Amino acid sequence: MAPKKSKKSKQEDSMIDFVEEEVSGDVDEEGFEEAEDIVVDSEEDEPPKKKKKVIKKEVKQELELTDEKLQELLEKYEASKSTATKTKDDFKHLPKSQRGKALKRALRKDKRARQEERTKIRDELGESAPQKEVPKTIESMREYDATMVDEQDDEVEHDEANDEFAPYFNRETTPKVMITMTPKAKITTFKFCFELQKCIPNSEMFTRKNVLLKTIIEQAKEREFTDLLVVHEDRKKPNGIIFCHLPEGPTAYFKINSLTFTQDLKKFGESTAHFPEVILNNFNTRLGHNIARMLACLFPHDPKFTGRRVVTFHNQRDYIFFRHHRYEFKKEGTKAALLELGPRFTLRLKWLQKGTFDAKWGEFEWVLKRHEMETSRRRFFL
Amino acid sequence: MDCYIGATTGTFKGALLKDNTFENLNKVSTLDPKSDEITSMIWNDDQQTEILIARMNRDLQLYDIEQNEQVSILTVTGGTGPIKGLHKLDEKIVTCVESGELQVWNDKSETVSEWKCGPGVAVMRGSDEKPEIVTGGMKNLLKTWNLETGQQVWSAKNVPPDMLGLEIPIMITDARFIPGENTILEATKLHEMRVYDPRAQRRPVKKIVFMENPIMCTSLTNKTNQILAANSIGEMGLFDLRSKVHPMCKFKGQAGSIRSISGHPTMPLAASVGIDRFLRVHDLQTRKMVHKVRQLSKDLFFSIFEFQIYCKARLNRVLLRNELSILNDRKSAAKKEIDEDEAEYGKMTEDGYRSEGDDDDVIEEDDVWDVMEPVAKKKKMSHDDVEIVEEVENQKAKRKRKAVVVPEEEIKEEVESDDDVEEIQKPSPKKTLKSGKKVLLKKKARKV
Repeated sequence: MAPKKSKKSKQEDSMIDFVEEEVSGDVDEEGFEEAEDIVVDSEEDEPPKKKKKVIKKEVKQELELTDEKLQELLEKYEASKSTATKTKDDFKHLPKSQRGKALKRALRKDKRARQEERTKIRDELGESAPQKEVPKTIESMREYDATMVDEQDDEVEHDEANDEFAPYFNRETTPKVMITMTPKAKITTFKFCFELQKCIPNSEMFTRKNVLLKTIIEQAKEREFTDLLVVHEDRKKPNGIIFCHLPEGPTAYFKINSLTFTQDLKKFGESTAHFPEVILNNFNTRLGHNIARMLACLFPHDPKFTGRRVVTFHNQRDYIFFRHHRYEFKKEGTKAALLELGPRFTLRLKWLQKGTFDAKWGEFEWVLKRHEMETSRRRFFL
Repeated sequence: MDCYIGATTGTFKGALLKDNTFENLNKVSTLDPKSDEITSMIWNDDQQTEILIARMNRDLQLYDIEQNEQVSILTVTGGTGPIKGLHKLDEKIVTCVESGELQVWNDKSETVSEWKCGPGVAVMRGSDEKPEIVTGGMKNLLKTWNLETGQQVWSAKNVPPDMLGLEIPIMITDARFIPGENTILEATKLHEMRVYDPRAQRRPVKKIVFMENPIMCTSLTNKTNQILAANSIGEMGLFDLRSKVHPMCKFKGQAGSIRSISGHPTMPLAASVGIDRFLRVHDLQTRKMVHKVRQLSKDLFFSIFEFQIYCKARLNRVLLRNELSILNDRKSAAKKEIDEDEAEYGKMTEDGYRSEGDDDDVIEEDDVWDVMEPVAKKKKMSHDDVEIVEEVENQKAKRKRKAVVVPEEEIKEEVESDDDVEEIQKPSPKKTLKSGKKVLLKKKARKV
């Protein structure tokens, strides 16, 4: 590092350069123009001295990008990634109560500055710039799960070829859905069931009338229903949904979160009777696969593409987002416009049970045990 | 292979704990779960070289571990439903199907004898000590049968009706003889286990309630009187049949119903499988999933990785081998250690564990006595001193008292502390408990 005096002199030089360039105007090369812009920016922002120096260097390197310079730039790039310039000791002069805040503020500023520095280095490096890092989100740092399903796995394929949903996927059955609710359901629950019925083709809605769920299942089997949805409510609002595949199960219980009815959406359309397309996103583990297959079983096989209706089940951090849209291609055919149709809600799996509904004597395939299983924020099951 | 696992898809798997892997021992693609699901599995011999496997279509197969071959030996006929239990007794195989037809086969796969033990059988298990088997199931009370004569030896009686006078449903899911105790353990869907003593009465002598979901399976462990049980949401507990504390501990890790547990006969290990598709091996001493190197004694290490193997299919049955790849061959040392540990657990009371009459404890007490002797002498001295002090106080000669008493007060303190020690020595029940705990703590500290 150069001593302070030289720094100052360099700064002055740069100032002079800048003035000269401005005078000389458009004559310079393109590269120079860019550099000039950068200098102007830095002047306006009044950044710390150190940064100016860096920029100055860049200007010089722009002229001749040799291997050595490239190495140097890369090193600098790495350095600007990792090292923070401010430390706790820089704020010793402040009273104790203010130090923390000041440090935080300074660090944030510093981070921003380093980010800008990096973008500039990237611009200079052009094609030889190092790859941008993938942002660290909770999902991208997800804990390793042994049950992730590979695409080519004979055993899982064999398992899935013989499970309860196989008849649907072999096109031996067509879905027929029964929707019912808790006994003495209130108006919002009815409303929710109506919306579900609109959205799921070939579904029928029944009031519960105090019939036991096990008898309902028997009756539904007789009438050849393939799925049963029971909406539960709490405080006059739907809060849960039992999803039972017939005739052999399995049964899943989902919690309903953040429910928005169609009427409450800012802009909404009217649903049509076309068979919708189904999108199932991010169901990667073995359990997730099962749930996705289960959800797919609700909808008929061949979507009518003329209806342009889409039902989406998007899994993100174990919450399954339900959306219902009509899409429309713009003239160029590159972008699609979406019009939301159905209700909007989020599901969270609470348990999955083998066989039809039998909460007391049944065997559970998977149960969410919150304190035992939620060991980390980055652990997901679907 | 350390563990042999039977899956609901019909695959037969061998798991190697050392590498944390599993392997399919038959071809997957040809299997049909509706006929090939493995419903029961036992060792064919004591050396653990052959396994008897019962399939859903009631085929009985013999698997040779060394040759890695499966041979069909017989198909059970008569009755309906899958085979619910297998037992091997001197070249004879006992099978029991769900509808209650119990058959004894000889080594030429011919039926020797046959009788019925009532419909809805859920479990049939044999005894290692005598030629008897126990059966039970849904609406089918626990019965023991003599294999030679085919006669019913003993049958249970249902527990008395509840406070409303309603009959308690009979829902047996698992039953087994407790070796060395002449008792029978029964697990029910009513989240209750019952211990029967056939010599005493027909009703259970003990009931153990565990959580709130149906108990699916039980297992023996390396210690007599300790058993494992697991329920339909994957809660597994360790129980001592003598104690009143239930469960002694719960094991973590399982996400779904456990179908089978297999305890190791000598080491404190147990493997469990269930329909959450995982094989898990737990350490019964640390009560955790075995997953790291653990020191058993000064020069003997368990070298262990995480034993939670994802087996890709729902699992029905598991058998844990006696010789495990994760154990060192210096078994004798390990055994010693286990014996010590067993002694450490000692008798249990409602307050928890208490060591009593332990070898180590005796030594500890001796040590205490060694310390005690001089103290006792001092104490006699100090008694007199105390009297003197009192006299001095009566005289109210403050200055004198200060001059004389200060050293004596020190002695007084000593006396008090010594008194405590002596009280502990006397057999007053509460204090001994404390001392026992202290001793335990000391021991632990020393081990650490």
